[in-house]
Amino acid sequence: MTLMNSFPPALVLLIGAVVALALPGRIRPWATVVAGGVVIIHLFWVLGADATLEVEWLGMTLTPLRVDKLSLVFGYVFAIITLIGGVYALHMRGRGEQVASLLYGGSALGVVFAGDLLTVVAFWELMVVFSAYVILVGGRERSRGAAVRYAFVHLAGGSTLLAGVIWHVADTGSLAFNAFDGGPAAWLVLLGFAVNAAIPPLHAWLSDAYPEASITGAVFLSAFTTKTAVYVLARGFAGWEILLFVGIIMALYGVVYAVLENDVRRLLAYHIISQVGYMVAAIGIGTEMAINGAAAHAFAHVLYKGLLFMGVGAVLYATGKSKLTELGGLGGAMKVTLVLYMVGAFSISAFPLFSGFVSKSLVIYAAEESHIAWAVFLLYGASVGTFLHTGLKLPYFIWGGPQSKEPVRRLPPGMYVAMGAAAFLCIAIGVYPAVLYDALPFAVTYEPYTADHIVSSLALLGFTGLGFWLLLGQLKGEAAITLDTDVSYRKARRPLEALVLSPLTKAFEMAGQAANSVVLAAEWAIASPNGLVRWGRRIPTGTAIVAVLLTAALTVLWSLAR
Amino acid sequence: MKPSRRLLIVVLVGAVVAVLADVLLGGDEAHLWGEGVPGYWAVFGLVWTVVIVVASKWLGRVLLRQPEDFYDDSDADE
Repeated sequence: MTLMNSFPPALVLLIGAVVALALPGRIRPWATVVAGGVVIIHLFWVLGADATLEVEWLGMTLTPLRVDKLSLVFGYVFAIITLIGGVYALHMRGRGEQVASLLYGGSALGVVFAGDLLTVVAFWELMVVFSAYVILVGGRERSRGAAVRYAFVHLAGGSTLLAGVIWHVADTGSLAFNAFDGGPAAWLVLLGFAVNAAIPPLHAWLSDAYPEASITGAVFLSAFTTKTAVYVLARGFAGWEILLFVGIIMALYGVVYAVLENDVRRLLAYHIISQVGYMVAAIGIGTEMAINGAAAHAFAHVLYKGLLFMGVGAVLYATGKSKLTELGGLGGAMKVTLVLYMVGAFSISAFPLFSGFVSKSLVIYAAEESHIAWAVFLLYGASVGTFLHTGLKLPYFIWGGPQSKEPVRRLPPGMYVAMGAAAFLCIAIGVYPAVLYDALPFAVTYEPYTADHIVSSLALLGFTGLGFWLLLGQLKGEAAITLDTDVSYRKARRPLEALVLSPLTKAFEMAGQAANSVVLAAEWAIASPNGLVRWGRRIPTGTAIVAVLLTAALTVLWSLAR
Repeated sequence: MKPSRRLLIVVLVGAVVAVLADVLLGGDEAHLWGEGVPGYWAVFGLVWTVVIVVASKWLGRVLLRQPEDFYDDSDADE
């Protein structure tokens, strides 16, 4: 049994992907479900709680498996969302996306359980490739362009990470992936991680690409990339104060953009940035309570964000629409989806009895405990925005209003089952927080259900609702897009052409013309009836010999004179 | 879209209940300036909602909003 005790969970999903590749189309979707189920069983019941695996490779000792409570809590939720996402995607027939999703999830597990930096980098780059592929086959008008931009940004981030790792190993002589002490190598690594954590201004790939994935792809995307980044930050950079500041900027940044956003999946994508901001800020605080908060919130987030993406994905599947200006009045036709979506919305908004209430409050409590009042103030403020958009604006403009008469496509049963399972877990964690708290890296001494916390949360959320009603006219979707930092590379073609490409092209053209004239001259000299060669033939031999001797004599004289 | 009357009633009842509960049950543990004042979190929620919407809309107007075809001529594959 020792082999199974220390069998890397990543391999379970990677093997699943190979099997999926070989299966015929009709049963292929079940590969993800089975692989997800197997990896859940493996993580919860087979894998040793402190298992490690070391491998000798090219004279280095690699640690492809290092299990502890921090890696386990991320591993658990990745396994769960693989299963749920697999059930949600049971109706999908495309081979590429199924296989890529499994490889993507496997690589994410690979990063989470990696004990050395080389393994981290290897799985990190695999994650880039497979997640970009998931976007590429999204089947939407802009999927291809978004995937190319996504890959470009992440490969740049991955290279930065690799450079930092090489530098770090050269400095310290150690491949081990533990807390970084500082220095330029650590900053490069941090920069590489920051791209995947979607820390502004390096975040625009997220809101650019996720809404262009397929409805099933978005569920996996919303889970893996940013949360592996949260994990590696918690592992390597706990207590780095800069993360507190950027985390809070993230929390508010996403909220501002969500006000302006018309595409429902892009709105949710901006709220990923906002929610990951809570986790990054907690890592910046760096106390045991804060790291618990980051891990707990990541766990809860994967489930409720997956649920929200599944909910709007169901709307997109049924109506073909994803813009607030085009949607509305689905309350009658898609009631079940509304109810399930609202479970996710109440969870992300931290309503009592829903998962966010017990996870987000850990983060805010960690800030209170460390007496960082401004952070507490701003994080509460950001959570007003979360409820405003995810819990009020989005459902109101999708399901509310006069009933839509348009026919709605029926959802496959797998979608309902998957959303139901995610909703069940969101409520289970909210009602019985011990299931989550017991899995956290450090012992939890915090009690979320105090009268004070419940009533202040309800007052906050209730009056956010009142504000929403007052400002309803302002919050309607508008048929427009919102600029973000990706404008710097999406609009770069014209300036790039004017400043770099066209001068270069001109220079090459001129060089080409010059070369051309030399060739023409040579050709004329050799071949033309009046050319040099013909002309040379007409010179009498004697004259030629005299000329050569004269030249030789002059050369000799000149060299003697020197 | 006209705000529905039913929504207003739900929201108002919820808000009143929340404030009453806060006044009756709220603890005195305070981390923020003024947190102990009755109705603090109600005012907090309302003010933040207004600030978020007004500030974001303003940013959108002066800087961020663009027509939907803004990127159509520049994305490499289109």
